[in-house]
Amino acid sequence: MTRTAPVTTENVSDEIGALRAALGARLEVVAPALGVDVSGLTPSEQLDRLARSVHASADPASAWLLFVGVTATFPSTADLASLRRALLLATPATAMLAVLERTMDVQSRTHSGLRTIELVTDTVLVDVDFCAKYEHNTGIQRVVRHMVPEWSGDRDDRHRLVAWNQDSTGYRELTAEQVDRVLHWNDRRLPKTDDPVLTDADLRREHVLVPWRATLLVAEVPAFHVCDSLTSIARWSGTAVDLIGYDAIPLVSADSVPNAESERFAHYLTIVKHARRVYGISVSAADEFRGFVATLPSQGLSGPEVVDVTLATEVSPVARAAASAVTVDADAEPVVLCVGSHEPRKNQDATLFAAELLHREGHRFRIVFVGGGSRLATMHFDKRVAKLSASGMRVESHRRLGDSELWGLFGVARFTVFVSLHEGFGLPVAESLALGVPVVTSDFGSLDEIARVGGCLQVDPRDDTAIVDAMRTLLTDDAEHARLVAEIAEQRPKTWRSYADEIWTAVTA
Amino acid sequence: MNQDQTSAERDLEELREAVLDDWLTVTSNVTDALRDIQQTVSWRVTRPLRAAKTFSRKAEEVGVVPAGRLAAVEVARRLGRR
Repeated sequence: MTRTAPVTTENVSDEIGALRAALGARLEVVAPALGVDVSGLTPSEQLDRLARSVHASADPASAWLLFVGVTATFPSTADLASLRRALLLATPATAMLAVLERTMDVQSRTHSGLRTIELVTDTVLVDVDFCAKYEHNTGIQRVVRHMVPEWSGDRDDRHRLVAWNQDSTGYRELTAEQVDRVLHWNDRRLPKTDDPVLTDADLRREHVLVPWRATLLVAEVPAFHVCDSLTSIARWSGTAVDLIGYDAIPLVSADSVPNAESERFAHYLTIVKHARRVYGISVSAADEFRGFVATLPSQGLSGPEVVDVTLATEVSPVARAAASAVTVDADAEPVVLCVGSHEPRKNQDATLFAAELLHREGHRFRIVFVGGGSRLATMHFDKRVAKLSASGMRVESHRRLGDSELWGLFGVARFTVFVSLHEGFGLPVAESLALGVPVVTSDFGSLDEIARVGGCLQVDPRDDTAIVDAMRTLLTDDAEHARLVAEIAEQRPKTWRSYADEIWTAVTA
Repeated sequence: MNQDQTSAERDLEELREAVLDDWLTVTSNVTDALRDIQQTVSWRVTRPLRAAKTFSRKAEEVGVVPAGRLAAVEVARRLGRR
């Protein structure tokens, strides 16, 4: 049972005094940015003066900042619209009342009254929320954890990594463990531990980082519940919001993802509407965002500029070392590798079907599927794998394989198969090529962009026979296999340094 | 006239102070009111239902495993507060 101190006149008064002092401190932080001198004033005088100033200016960015100063939270679009309208209806003398009235609901719900704030100006804030908080490392996280560390050193003082606080009402600095998760994924400096547990008292006293006339790079696809606050920042705060555009799959291939993903992405697009720029990770991904932007004039909006900044195709030295460390047994059956999270659009069913058919034809090989997935997505596939394995076919499916084991499999693979129906980029193809392993992959979209430079057999992923033929070729035709290996040897993969430089140059332009 | 003005300004300032104090008190008291609600039997017996709903929503957003971790952190946070 929760025990609370009895409410007495004395401690209530102390509480109000502390809240009043904290409010005053926050208003002192926002006042210079709003061009108002509040030195020597009480909190109520400060607020009155600031409210009058924002009322007079009718500037949405000023209203956004005043809201943050009063509540220590980032306003939703509805909260800010409500405040702005109330200010327009108010007189200078009643502007303060309008501010208090329209912030009361948020302040009551979030208990953020004791928080401190800091304006972050003329700096690139990089939202790395998910990578900071979770030990999870697939597509988007791999990009972030490759790109952001490249900005360490000479650009340290020009960017700041941020995550959402526990109640998702504002940005805060990363903890040391979270920095380690983002910057040193392959070379951890700290033991892997859970994030520090924050008590309610801790949460009430958080330090909030406030983007003000800054640039905010949203490096991930944000969670549903922060999309509205981000939209508010992009639309009203005066901070330019740039996004890395991974793909529009949850919407344009909604049949292949859970409904919640599509809903989340639809709300993400609201941020896109008001962003400054989107950096597509491939030409195909950028085209999908351009398609969305082309629809915006019907809403009276122009939308962001969409730029192609194609992802890097190199693998880390750690991956290369792990792949090289394994010994290939010349007498062992050839290994076929299929890497990718397990979901319908990745088309693993077609790959498994092709493998079964080739096995029945008498070809001897070992096929290994690697990638996690929901129980719903993997249940039938895993049953099929178990049945084929019991019948004598060498087939495996690994749902939780460590990075070093995965790179080791690339080291022994004769070729990989990645016949996805829709991708934003196709990291498994790029990684396979970077490690010198030929690939059977799709002949359109972003996969075609990667594959057309060589080292791949391209097929129509909707044509099972084409997949079978390509896999048979790479299993049996040593000359063709050698030709593809030679093509790969000629390639010079794009480095993460180069990718990070391109993004940095664009973000700071 | 000047005296009236000064007096009016003083009244106005007192009014502002009182309004801000009320605002701070009300926003702060909602915390106590919520705490009272959370002590009721109905709130307690429906807690598992709300937890399941929250977990389900979180799992849809970030996946089952991360949602499990978040749930563990939340439980630890609540226990730590006691």
